[in-house]
Formats: sequence, C-alpha cells, structure tokens
Amino acid sequence: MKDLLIQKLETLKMEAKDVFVQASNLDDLYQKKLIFLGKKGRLTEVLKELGQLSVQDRPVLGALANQLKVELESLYSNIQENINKNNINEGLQKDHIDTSLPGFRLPHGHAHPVNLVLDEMKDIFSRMGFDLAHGPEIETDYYNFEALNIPQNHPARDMQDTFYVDGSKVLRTHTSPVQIRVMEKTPPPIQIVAPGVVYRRDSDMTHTPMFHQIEGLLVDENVTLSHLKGVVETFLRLIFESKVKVRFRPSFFPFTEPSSEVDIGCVFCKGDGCRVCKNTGWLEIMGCGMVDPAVFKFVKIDPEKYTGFAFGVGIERITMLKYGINDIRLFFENDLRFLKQF
Amino acid sequence: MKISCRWLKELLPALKLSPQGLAEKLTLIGLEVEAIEDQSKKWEGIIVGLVLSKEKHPQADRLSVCRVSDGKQEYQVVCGAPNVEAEKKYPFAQIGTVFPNGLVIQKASLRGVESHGMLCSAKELGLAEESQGLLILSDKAKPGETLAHHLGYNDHILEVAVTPNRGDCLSHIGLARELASFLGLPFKQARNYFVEGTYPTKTYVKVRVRDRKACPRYCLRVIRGVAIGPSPQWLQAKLESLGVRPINNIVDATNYVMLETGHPLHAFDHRFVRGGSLVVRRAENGEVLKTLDATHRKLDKEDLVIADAEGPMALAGIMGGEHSGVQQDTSLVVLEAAAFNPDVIRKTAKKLGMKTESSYRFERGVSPEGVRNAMDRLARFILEFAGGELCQQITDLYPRKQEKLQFSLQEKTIHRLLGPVIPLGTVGRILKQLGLNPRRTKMGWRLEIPPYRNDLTREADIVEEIVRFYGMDQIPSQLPRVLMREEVTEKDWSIEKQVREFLISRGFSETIHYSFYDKELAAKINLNQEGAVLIQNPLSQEMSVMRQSLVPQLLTTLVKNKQASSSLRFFEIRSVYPSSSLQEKRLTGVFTGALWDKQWRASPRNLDFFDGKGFLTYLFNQVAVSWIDGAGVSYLHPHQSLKIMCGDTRLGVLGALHPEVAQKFEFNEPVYVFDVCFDKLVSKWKTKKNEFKPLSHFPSIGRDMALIADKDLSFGKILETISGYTIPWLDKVDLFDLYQGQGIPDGKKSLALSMMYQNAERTLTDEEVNQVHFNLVKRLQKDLAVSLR
Repeated sequence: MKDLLIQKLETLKMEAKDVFVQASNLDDLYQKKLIFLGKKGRLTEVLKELGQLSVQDRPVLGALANQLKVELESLYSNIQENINKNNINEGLQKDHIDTSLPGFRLPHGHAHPVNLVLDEMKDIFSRMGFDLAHGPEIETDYYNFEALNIPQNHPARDMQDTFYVDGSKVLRTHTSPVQIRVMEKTPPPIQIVAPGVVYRRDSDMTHTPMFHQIEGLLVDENVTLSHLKGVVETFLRLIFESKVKVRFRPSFFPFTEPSSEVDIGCVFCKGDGCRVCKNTGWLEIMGCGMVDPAVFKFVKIDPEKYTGFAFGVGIERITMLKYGINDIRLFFENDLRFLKQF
Repeated sequence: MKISCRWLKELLPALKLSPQGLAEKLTLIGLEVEAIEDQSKKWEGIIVGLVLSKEKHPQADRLSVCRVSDGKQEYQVVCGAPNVEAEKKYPFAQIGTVFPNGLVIQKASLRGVESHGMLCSAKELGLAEESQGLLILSDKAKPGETLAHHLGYNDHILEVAVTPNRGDCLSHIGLARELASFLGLPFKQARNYFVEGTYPTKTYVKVRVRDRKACPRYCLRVIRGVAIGPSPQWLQAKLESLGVRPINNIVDATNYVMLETGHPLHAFDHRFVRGGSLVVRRAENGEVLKTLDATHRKLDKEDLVIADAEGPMALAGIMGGEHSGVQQDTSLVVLEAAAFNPDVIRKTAKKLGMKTESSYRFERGVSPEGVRNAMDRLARFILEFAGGELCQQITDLYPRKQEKLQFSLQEKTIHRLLGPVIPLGTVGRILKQLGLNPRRTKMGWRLEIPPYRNDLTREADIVEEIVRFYGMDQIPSQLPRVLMREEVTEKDWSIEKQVREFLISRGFSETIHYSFYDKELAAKINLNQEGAVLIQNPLSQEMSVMRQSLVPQLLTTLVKNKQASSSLRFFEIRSVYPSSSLQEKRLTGVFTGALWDKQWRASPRNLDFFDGKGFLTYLFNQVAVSWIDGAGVSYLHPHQSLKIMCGDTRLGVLGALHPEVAQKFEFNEPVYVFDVCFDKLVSKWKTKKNEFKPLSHFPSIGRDMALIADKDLSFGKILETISGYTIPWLDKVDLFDLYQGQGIPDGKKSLALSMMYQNAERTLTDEEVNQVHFNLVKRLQKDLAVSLR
C-alpha cells in the first residue's frame, strides 16, 4: 500500500509537470493547477488514501505529499512568471511608438541679445561688489557735460553728437552723468555700475541713434590705476569667457586723467588681422581712466584724500563680438527672424 | 588727420620704423592710427606707357591704333583721344586693371582691331573732375614704372585720430616732435632762408587788433610781384595724398605750411584791402560776409572778423571772404598768420555750422609762440613757388608774450594715482623726455610747460604724460579691496528678470525699440500727447518725439512680423517719457494669433483675452491685484478690457485692441495688449501674503452645479455672492464650463461650477455635504435669479 501510494505520488508529480509546462496562458495554467492541486484535485484524492496506511507510514507519506505540493506550487509560480513575462514582452512590441515624431512644441519666446549680455554684465559686476545705479535719460547739460569737465565751447563736445530736447535738456550721450548724481549724494567709498540707454545723433552700419552702455565708478582712498586695470581685465575675461588679450592705450576723456582706451585681441582672427579689426589685430572695446580732479571738485569730494576710476562699455559692441553680429541696426529692428536666434 | 610717413621721415631722418611700426608706436602713446593707406597700391596695374607709333584706325576716323611700350614689350592699343601722339608717354592701364568705378580692362576688339589695354585721362584716374584727352606724362617718366611711382605716390598715409586735447599734434611737425621725444630721436626744425626787399610792409597795409584777448598775436607780411600759377608737381602730389585739393601756388603754400606746422594761414589780394588797413575786431550786429564757399554769413557781436576800412574780409580763423582772396591776376599778396582764442572761434564756427581745417586747429589751441615761424615759412615757400619780392619788416602784433606755465609735481600725487610702481629715476627721465624741463625739489619736481602744450595745466595731466611714455601695459594689475554692504537696487532687477523669464517661457519675445517715435504713430492709438518731449534736432520725423507709451511701436512690430509666424507675442520692459522731467518704466506686451504652432495632436485655437488674463494672473501671483471691468483707455475695446488694480493703485490695463485702432494698423485678427506700470508693480511686489495652512487629513468632497443665468450676469458677481455667504466647509469654487446656444434659452447662458467641501477635523458625510450644497443652490436661485439646468 505504501509503495503504491508512493508510486501514485511520483506519477502525479510527473504528469503535473508535463501538464503545467504545456499551459498556453495564465488561465489555462490555473485550470491545470486546479486539476492537480485543487480542493477536489488529484493530490487530494491521493491524500484521502493516506488513512489506509499504518501509523508509522502515515507521517512519512504525509511529508512526501507536502513536499510534492511545495514543489508543484513553486513550479506553478515559475511558469506563471514566465508566461507573464512573455505576455508583457509581446505587449511591448505592440505598444511600439514612432519616437522620431516631433515632441509637442510649446510656444517659447526669446530674450533680446542686448538684454542677455546686459544681464551677464550686471551679474559679473554684482559679484565683483558693484551696486547698481540709475539716472534719467533726459539729462541736464550740467550732468551730461558741465560737471564731467566738458564746458560749453569745448572741442570735446564734438566727440559726441547730441540730441537736444526742449527745456534746454539733452538726451544723455553717455551713462557718465550717473557718476555725478551718485557722487553728489553718496560719500565715498562708492562702487557702482550704471547700465542704461544713451543717445547720439548718428546712424550707419556701426552706429545707431540709441544704444546701451554700462558705466562703472569706484571711489575710495588709495584707488590706483592698477586697480582699474585689474577690474577691467577681470571683467573682460569673464564676459568673453576666455583669456582675451587686453591692451590699454592712452587716450583722452575730459572726465578722467589719465585716460585710456581698452582694446582686446580680435576675437575673429585671433590677432592675425581681418576686416573686422581693420587688420590691426585689436578691437576697441571700452574707455576708462582715473576720475579727473576737476570732476571731484564739482561733486565736492576731496581729491587729496580720495581717488577713483571710471569706465564705460558699449553693450551692443560686446554683443556683436560675442555673437558675430555684423550690423548694429539689427538690434532695434525687432525682426523675429533675428530675435529667434537668441 | 592724414599724416604722410615720408614727410615724417623727412623731418626725422633718424626714424627707421616701417609704416606699421610707426602706427603701433603712435597708437601706444595715445595717437591712435585708424588706418594705413599704401599709396603705391593706388592705380594697381597702371604703368607709364610710351607710344611708339600711331596710325589711323582702318574702320573709324576718330580712333587711332597705337603701339605702346612698357620698356620691354609692345602692345597694340586702340585709343579714341585726340591728343595721343607718338613719342609721348601716357598712363597705360594694362589688361586686368580694375578702376574705382568697377570697370575692368580686358582684351577687346574695337571695330575689328584688337586692343590690349587703355591709355587714361586725368579724369579716369580720379585726378581731375574734368579733363580733355589723355594725361600727358613728363619726359622723365620711365616706361614700365608704375604710375603711382612716377607721380610720387609711393608714400604710406596714416589716418591718425588726434584726441581733442592734443591740438599740438595736428601737424607733421607736431607728430615728429612727439615721436622724437618718445623715441629719443634728434629733432630740429628747418631754418627759413629768405631775403627781404626794400619796400616796408607798413606802406602797403597797416594793422590794428581791437580785441587782444580774441587775437593775442597777429603777423602780416606782403609780397610784391608774385606770379600765380600751379604749384610744383611734388607739392600737388603731397597735398593731394593728404586729402587737400591743389589750387594755386599761393593757396597751396598756405595749406602746405599748415599741414607742416599746424598753424592755419591766410592770403589776401592787396587790391581788395580797401583803404590799405586791416583791423581785427568783433563784427557789428547784422554785418554780412560772403565766405569762400559762396555763402552769405550774417554776423553778430560775438564773431571775430578781419576787416578793412569798409567791412569784413574774413571770418577770423575760420574762412576767408570770397571777394578778398587770391585771384589769377593777383600780384601783391598780403599774408596773415595769427593766433586766435579757441572759444571765440568755436562759438562762431558752431553757430554758423562751419568746420574748416583752420577752425578745427584754432578750436584746439594754436600757440602764439609758433606764429612767427609759420609766417616765415610761408614767405619762404611763396618766394620759391611764385617768385616776387618780400617786403621789409614783418608786422608782428604780439603785445603780451605768452608766459611759460610753471608748476610743481609732487611725488605723492603720482603715488596716489598710480601707486608706487614707477621708479622716481624713471619719472625724472620721462619728464625730461617730454621737454618739461624738470628741476628736482624736495617733494617732487618743478616743471616748465612748453608753449604748445596747452593741455598740461595740472599735476594729473603730467601723471597721464608719465603713464603714456612709461607704457600703460607696464602698470601692474590688481583687484581693489571693497567694502561689504547691503544692496538695495538689486530688487528691481531681480523682479524684472523674473517677469522677463516668465513671459519668455510663455512664448513672448523681447523687443527693444528706440525711445523716440513719430507723433503720427502715437496718434494712431489716440494717445494724449500732452507734455510729449520733442527732439529739437531729430534724425527724422520718425524719431522726433520721446515716446509716452510702448504700445504703438509694439503694434508696428506685430505688423512687421506678420509673415514670420502664426503666433506673435512681444513684450518690452522699458522707459517712457511722459514729460522732460519724468521717466517711467513700463511692461507692455502684445499678442495675436494661434495658441500653439500648427502641429500634430494639437487642436488649433487662437489666443484670446483670457490667455492674457491667465498670463497676468500668474505674473502677479505675488501682488494683491483686483481686476476691474473696462480699462477706460481709448485704444482698447471698451467691452473686452479691464483695469488691474492693487488697492487704489492702477497697475495697468489688459484688453483687445479697439477695432478702430486695429483697422488703422490693418490687423485682420484680434490683437490683445497689456500695459503695466512697472515701477508701481515693483512697489507692490509681495503685497499678497501667502500664509501657510495646515494640511487636512480628511478627504474632500466635490459637488457640481450647472446654472442657467441671465447673459449679463457676470461670473464675478456669482463669485462675489457666494463668498458673501457663510457656507460651511466650502473650500474652492471653479468654473469648468460656460455655454450659450442650442438648448439654452435666448439671452441666457449656462455656467457649470464645481465646489469642493472639506473639513479640517473630520470626514464629512455625503448627507451633510448634500444639505449644504442644496442650500447654496437655493440661495443663489433666489438672490441671482438663476435656475438649475
């Protein structure tokens, strides 16, 4: 009897294995499992016969039957997992999408390149420790010229063609009047940059009647030309994101003494000479100098105690160099085809 | 200013630099060379050609067939000029020559005869405005040499940008002097040799200077018996290469000496010095002078003139009179060399809108000290070029000799501006090099400024000179120490950046328009232009008024970009100028067209008012705004616009463009505009307090209602009514559908609302929410005359 039952269990195991493996899907597999392991399944049938066994044999066979059950259950879940995996894999195929189709295009606008560069500059100068300052664009003759040591009837007035408006005011020709306005109100130390719009009566490929400048001013005790050079060189390195060659060249501005123009090595030809740099290998980029004692006099700062430096940069010029733009007028035509490139 | 390298080398024989090297040196000491023109490159391909023989063209009477030699080879050239002759030399443009007008010389066949090149006239070469026949070259010309070489065009011309403070460098001698001191080269001015005759100058002209401040020195010479004619070829070439048109030997000599010394000079014909006397005086109000450029100049008391017994003959230091200059038959010339006050010259030149080589130099300061030398050089050259006899004794009115300016330069001033970077020995050497005659003192140096350096008046000026010669690049770079402190203005910038970034992310592109526009453009949007700031000297009508609104220009930009995209959105944050003392920042946007680009799986829809309101709602989520129906501005649609308020402050407006305005701009689709006062927005930023509310652990329950309401009942009114009630647990009300049309009676609309109920302390039951919701519906039905759908 014992052997017969053992035999039966063996057969059941073999058959179950064969049947499980042939299951075509999860449902089928489940039905097949019921045949063998269900409440009324074949294992139950065999177990019913256990009662006929001796007391010694009963636990032995019971253990055998249990082991068989565990084995089949495990086989079942393995096959179940396999079928499931196959099902998913087949589904993946069916769910194939054409990923080369375009993504949804959200409308997106564009920042104006001049503002991009202006932002970058404000960022650089803020990090270096300069505050932002502002002044009016419709300026008095006093702030735009007089207090900057450009008296009436001085040839230096020819350097900038001025727009006049009623009430004997002018459209400021540079951001330098902000220097005066700040120095009038604030005792040193002063460390500001003043970005803004300026106007000159000029219009061609390289000049527009309106453009942007950023003015810098630092006034304190013991400020020297070395500091001016340090700040200018650092700024140029940061704004052009690379080591640019920088050249200081003596020049003249009525409100600084000594004065200097700053050139950078041509970013297009790297100094070999090209049309943009007129074969000089250098590009004029900004003006700067030590604050003229005459200017200090106007704002009542003691030139014996304080010194300072000032600089002015044209934003469009730098933007043109950074992006290789060849016509300054494009900045103000607001052509979407242009704006879209930034 | 144009400077001839050859001339500089004549003045500085020890100067060995190439034109490029010279340009670099000048640039490094603040005399920027903007361009170098190689004159030998002028007329490339054109050489001296010798005509060996000339025969008549077999087919054409007016043409001749010449054999032309370049010294090595012979060419057959067909020529149409009547003055072509054998054995003579002419400019010969070889095959491949490109003329300034774009004409390229090619091998050609003229009436069946081959021609290999062209013989040129002076006009074709740009040497004259009109010319008859070919330019005949001198016998000395060598066949085959380039025309530029033969005509003396083998120089390099530098275009030097002289800064306004360096009037002393506006001449070849000025630059030579500067280079000599910088490079340590010997420099000596040439002596003037001439013989004076026996007739005294005074017998011809007597001079009086009435305004000594305006004219500190006035020199006059007279030369008898000059023969007016063309200047020598070398002089003409020299002048021409420096951009000065040769006129005659007298005028050319004045120009030559001016280019050499920097002193402007003038020559009168003695016949037109009425009464034999000259006076330097201010003009009478209303006096008129016809200047050399054939313009009648009305003068006033500010203007300085050189007058004879009857009236003004020249505008001092600016331009001569038309009637008093040198003529073809002049034989007695009166020469003037003077120093005039820069301010006086500038005022007149500016007032009359005149800018001449002479006024340019006087405005920048011409030292009285050099006047005599300039006069003597002029006399010497005129005697050489035009002959004649120089009268005895120069008239030289120079009552107060220009004093040499002297002052001290202290070491500490140098240190204050430069730090202790330049050794004192070097400073002393540079001061000497600069010709400042330094004497060492305890504290620094005592300096003596040369008379021509009118720009050196203070210590700071000298420090600049030291840096200039020491070399800017030799000064070490160093970052300054700065003080840490609080920054206040950054706030505006950071808000501006947030606003810009948001709008850009929503499809708006940023524009920059000029601050000025056309009055007519502003009128298109019915702008009240009272107080508008007018530009007195605008570039054009389109740029003549300072804008008071950004709207007109943005609309123009919409029109301009119509073709570029189906969806157009632009904005600008920038100043407007309500009056000359007021400047306000505005945030203005315009938009029209599609919500999305046309693309797959996107149902097309056009942007409308509510997209705009959505943008602004998000933008102002930190501002306590309220929206008031009707913008009350005339360029917006009165029934599709609103005012944006923050308390009592009107922040701005939003709306559809008024159809009338839209018509003027020829828009076919609706256009929407928002215009916000940015300064006010900044001041109201973060007025909305966002307070933390604890999160509820209990579920919320939603209920919808569809109301049929009168068409004119606003959604705002419904919301306002609901929030006027105290409805327990009501947390949120949203509109999820609005419908008018089929199924809804005329004059009515259907609004579908969803309500969320929530209790922070416990879970609500369906029954209690139903009760509350039912009550809400009933109250609305009663108070707003609405019904449930």
